[in-house]
This record gives sequence, structure tokens and C-alpha cells, in this order.
Amino acid sequence: MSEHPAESGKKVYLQHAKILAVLATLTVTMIFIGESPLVQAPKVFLLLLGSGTKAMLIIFYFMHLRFEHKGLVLTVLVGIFVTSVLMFLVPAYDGGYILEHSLYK
Amino acid sequence: MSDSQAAPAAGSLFGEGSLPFDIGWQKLMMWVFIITDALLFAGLLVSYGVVRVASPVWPDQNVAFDMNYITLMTFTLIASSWSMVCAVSASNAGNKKHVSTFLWLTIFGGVSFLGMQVYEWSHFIHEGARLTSNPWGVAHFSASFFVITGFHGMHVTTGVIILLIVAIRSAKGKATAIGVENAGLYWHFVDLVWVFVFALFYLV
Repeated sequence: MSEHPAESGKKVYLQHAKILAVLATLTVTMIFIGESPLVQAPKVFLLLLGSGTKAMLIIFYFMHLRFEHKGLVLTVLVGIFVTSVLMFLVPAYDGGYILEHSLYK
Repeated sequence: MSDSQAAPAAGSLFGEGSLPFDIGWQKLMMWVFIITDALLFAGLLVSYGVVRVASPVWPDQNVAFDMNYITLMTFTLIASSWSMVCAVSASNAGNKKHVSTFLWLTIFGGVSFLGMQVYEWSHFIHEGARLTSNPWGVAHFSASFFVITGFHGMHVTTGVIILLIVAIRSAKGKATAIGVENAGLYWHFVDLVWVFVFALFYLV
């Protein structure tokens, strides 16, 4: 079975608190990006980058995926990522078509 | 069934005998659930993304929501994720007292988040937002809000119930390390989903 660190006590809790501090900092940074006068496309890119980084920190450090079998890591990450991208690409084309042809007007 | 049939040889696809991915069945099932649930949320967020792309106008979130309040909700959930990972660490180390303390802290965080969400919903509804219409003009705006945050809130509620069961079992000395870990996986997943809801719905 995969081994998880069987440590407890202040030292481990502080290690987790460091990840919490990084997550909090990223959240604040993302709020500033969200409220900045940036054009929509780079703003969305930066926010997705920030969200992705936060997600990786949660998955690897809080959900302990870094201690798991490589096969599980690949199944979780590639499975979710590839399917999400495919899910977006197919209907986004239709969304673009609707916008282009101004069906909402 | 012979032993050679029951356990795949080392170096095979799984390579870990009767334990696919080298983890027990409870944790494997929890990961399978998380993947499928993540795809469900991905579907919701992708649908929302398509609606955003297709809508010529979209209301300014700063007008519709109090962003300081949403930020506080986000910090509450992240902090509860920290207390949960501490509970899992304490559980793996066999420190029952710490497990209990951190589990109750996590429950407190979850209940606080839910309380804030109830307030946010009631405020939004009071301002005139409905599933099919709202004062900001774009009907999809409030529909997306209710569906996405409602679905997430339902997950938080389920998480709090699971944590309550684990905390009570822990107090009785019945909770197992894998039970606490699986509850933790679910709770972190709820936090993980909020990361994307927060960014894509409230910030974009």
C-alpha cells in the first residue's frame, strides 16, 4: 500500500499552514487580477492559471496525491483535464457561432 | 481461483497484485467518485463558459455581489481544508485528540460557509434574482448562479454531514484512519471545486 507520512504535531500542521498561506496569497492575487482593467482574454488566462495552481496545491498537498501510485496520479489529472478541455471545445464552437451570428440580438 | 489468477503479475498494468494503483478499495472508490463528480462540475462550468461566450453582455459581478463577502467565504473554505488535512495527518499518526479537534474545526468552517451562502442567496433573491429573470437583464446570469453555487452548496452540506458522522465515530473511538482520509478527500474536493467557481463565476 502507498505510504502516507505518519507524522503529527505542530511541525506537520505548520507545513500544512504554509500551503494554506500560499493558497491565501494566490486568492488575493487573483482578486486583484479580477478587478484589474486588463482585457478579458489575458485576464481569463491568468485567472485559470491561478486556479490551476491552487488546484494542484490542493490535490498534491492536501489530498496527498503526491504519495500515490503514478497510475492513479495520471488517471486523475489527465482524465479530468483532457475531458474538461474536450467538453469546452465542442460546445464553445457553438457558442462562438451563436455570438458571430448574433442570435441573441 | 488459483493465486496466479487472483493476483496479476508484478509489472502488469496495475502491478500491485489485488490492489489496483496500490491503494485499498475504499480510497480507490472515493477517487473514482471524485473524478466523476469533477467531470459533472466541469460540465456545469463549461456550460456556463459557453453561455458567457455567447452572451453579448454580462452583468458586472462587483455590482451584483459584495466581493469582500465572497472573499471571506473563500478564505473560510480554504481554512477548513487546512484543518481537515491536519485531522488526516493526526489520524495517520494515531493522535485521536487532535483528530477530534481538527474535525470539529472543519465542521465549524463548513457550517460557517453554508451560513454565509444562505445569506448570500437570500440577499440575491431579495434583490429580485430568480432562475429565469433578474434585475441585471441577463437571465442566464442568475440561472448560472443558482445552479452552480446551489450544486456546490449541496456538496458542502453533504460534506458537513459526512464530517459529523466521522467526528462522532471518532469520539466513540470507532473512526478508522481510512475513514478520516476519505472524508478528507471529499472535503478537499469541495474546496477544489470552489476554487474554479470563485475564479470563473465571481472574478471573470
